Amino acid sequence: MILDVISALCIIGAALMSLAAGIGALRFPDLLSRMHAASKPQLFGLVLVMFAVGLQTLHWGPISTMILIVLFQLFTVPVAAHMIGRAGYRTKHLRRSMLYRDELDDAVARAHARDVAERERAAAESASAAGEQDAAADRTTHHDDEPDAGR
Amino acid sequence: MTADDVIPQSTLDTPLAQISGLVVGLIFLAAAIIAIIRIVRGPSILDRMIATDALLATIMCALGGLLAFTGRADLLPVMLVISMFGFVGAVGVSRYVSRADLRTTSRYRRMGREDHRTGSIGTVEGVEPGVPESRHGSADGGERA
Repeated sequence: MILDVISALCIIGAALMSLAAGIGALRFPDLLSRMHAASKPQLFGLVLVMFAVGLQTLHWGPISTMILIVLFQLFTVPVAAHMIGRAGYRTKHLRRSMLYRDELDDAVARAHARDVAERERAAAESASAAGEQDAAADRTTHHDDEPDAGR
Repeated sequence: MTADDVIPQSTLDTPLAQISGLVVGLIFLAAAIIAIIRIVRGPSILDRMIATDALLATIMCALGGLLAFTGRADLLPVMLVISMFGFVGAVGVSRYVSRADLRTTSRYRRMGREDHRTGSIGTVEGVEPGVPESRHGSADGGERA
């Protein structure tokens, strides 16, 4: 009986967290704040629900499967959030006025300077070289093509 | 011992379980409807993808709640599959939006093409490496969607 009450409370907590995530995704003004709000129930709500299910079953068969579920969420949720945040930053889906500090800005500025210098060098090379050497330049290795500045 | 023996069937017999099940179901329904509203209204495709992730997490939690209340052990593989493959959509959409083919089109930049200004990609700080014009239309339209 007391286990039923505890598991019911856990499931109600997970449901409220899902509701909070929905409200946050609906009401927040920015992509990054929406992502912050929406990623809350993905792990903690799931852990609460799994705890409730584990209290209801008390057997190792379903509990091991649930540990596996939580482990997969633990691996995949940061990947998805990171890629969405990176895509949002690259395509300027964020409001600069809502940021206190943009720590990526310095790295992006450095990468931009390097990019401009590389492009000027490539333009100078192609201006001095003949036309058929462009095909040869196409087959060279590009180890520093896109400066991976983490943006 | 099958899964039906492990989890007791039909624990929705006490009034506590019925009332809490109703409340939990209504809260999950409200959360799903709010996430769907954001999916419909989202200004960009990334907002829609975030709301889709929230909806998927809500569905997972709701399936877990259903499993806890009714003891349907056949919902465990469903949750396992959702937790494994739920992030594929987010990864695909974000790669599509962030123009990950910059790494392949940068060779055109190295070839010293003169038309840097044509076919602009919206990268940070206005860097516009040149791409062929044929790819420009669809990708830029998808970015604004």
